[in-house]
Amino acid sequence: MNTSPSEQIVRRNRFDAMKKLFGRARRLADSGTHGFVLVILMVCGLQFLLSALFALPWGGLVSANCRWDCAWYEQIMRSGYSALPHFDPDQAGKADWAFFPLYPLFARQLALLLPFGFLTTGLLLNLALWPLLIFLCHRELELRGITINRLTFALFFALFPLNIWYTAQYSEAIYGVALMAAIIALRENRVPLAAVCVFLLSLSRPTGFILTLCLAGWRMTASQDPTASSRKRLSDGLLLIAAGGAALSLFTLYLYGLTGDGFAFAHVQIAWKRHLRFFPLVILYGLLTPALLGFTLSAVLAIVVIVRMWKQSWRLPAILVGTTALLALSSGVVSIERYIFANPLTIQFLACTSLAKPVSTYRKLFLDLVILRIIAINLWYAPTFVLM
Amino acid sequence: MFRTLLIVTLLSFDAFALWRGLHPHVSDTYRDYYIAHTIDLPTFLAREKADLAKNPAVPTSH
Repeated sequence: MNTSPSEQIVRRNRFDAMKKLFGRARRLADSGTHGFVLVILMVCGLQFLLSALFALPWGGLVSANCRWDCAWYEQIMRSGYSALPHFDPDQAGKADWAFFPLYPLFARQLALLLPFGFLTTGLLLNLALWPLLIFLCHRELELRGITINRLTFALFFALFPLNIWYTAQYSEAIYGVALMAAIIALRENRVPLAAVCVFLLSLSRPTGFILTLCLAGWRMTASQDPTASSRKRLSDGLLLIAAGGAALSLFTLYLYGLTGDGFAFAHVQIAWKRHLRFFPLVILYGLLTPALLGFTLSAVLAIVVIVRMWKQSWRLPAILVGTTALLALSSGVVSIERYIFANPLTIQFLACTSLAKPVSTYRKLFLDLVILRIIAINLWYAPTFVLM
Repeated sequence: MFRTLLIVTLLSFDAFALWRGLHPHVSDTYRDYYIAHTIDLPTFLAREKADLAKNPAVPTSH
């Protein structure tokens, strides 16, 4: 298509203005921690505006983002855990015991201090944690000696299509922050701080304690501190297991008092038709069931990404994401795209591999991300059975 | 010394919670559906409702 010389000049000017803007943002991000934090906040602000724009037809951000499990979190925020399961036909047999307490109870306490409702407070909490998580993910890469441009890294995280749960009323943000903070604390040899982080991690999601076991094993076998004796490493590992176990124990004893079953959080999964099976059979069943095909393809893609992580020497992330995938796929394929592709370690890995390509490919990459993100937002707001 | 004491205390607490978890104090209906998986959902609901009708003051899952 031919364009007139005046149009060409306008386009050229726009391109130069964008280039100048990105140059300034890049310099600000590279100027130090404060500059980087400012850039992350600006990028998250843009992401927030994009989400808010598409949320307008759905009654605004708060109600548009409250989909699927959000109703369970809201119930816990509003009235605590219930002693009995649901008997109504839609939710028969299901109960809120499956949802770990850190996110809903933290949001509930915040709601008592802030002049907003439970759902708004839950959303605000996640909107505050999301920039912190991006910062922690970049910090963790720095500790591993991986250099990546700060601005493009923040942009990748903000535009990544499957980050929608970080700006919804879900426990992903608090879980992600606890996980990355625990890894950073261990890399910096701050084991007591890591113990606090794994306590929070185990209190936020069912996989938290299993990941704590992985982190403890990593600490005991591949310590960051070469001068640490084997006895010290064993002590560090045991402290992590004891701290993570204490969080799980608190919830277990609470549920025992409430329902008579300390492991009700696991037993109630049967109401969602989730029970332990050999995971290749779960994938095979998913491939043969049209309604589960989307989730199953996500599961296959997840396995490919985990293998690539391992091959590229991302050993600890591969173990942590692989364990999460194994646990999730041993009971079903539904929501696997959230468990794996919304995991901060996966986004971090995908950012590093995508941004390692020549700078000339970035324009197409970010354009693709914007389009996919808009599709993801709308699939979430609709809501559909594609993203859960 | 403090760290060892802390680890021992926390692990003892964890062991106690594990023991509690392994010994649930629940009704037969609850056990059959949620733990043993020997009855299906409609049977569970029918039995829970029957138990509730017999004794409405007591939550049947306990």
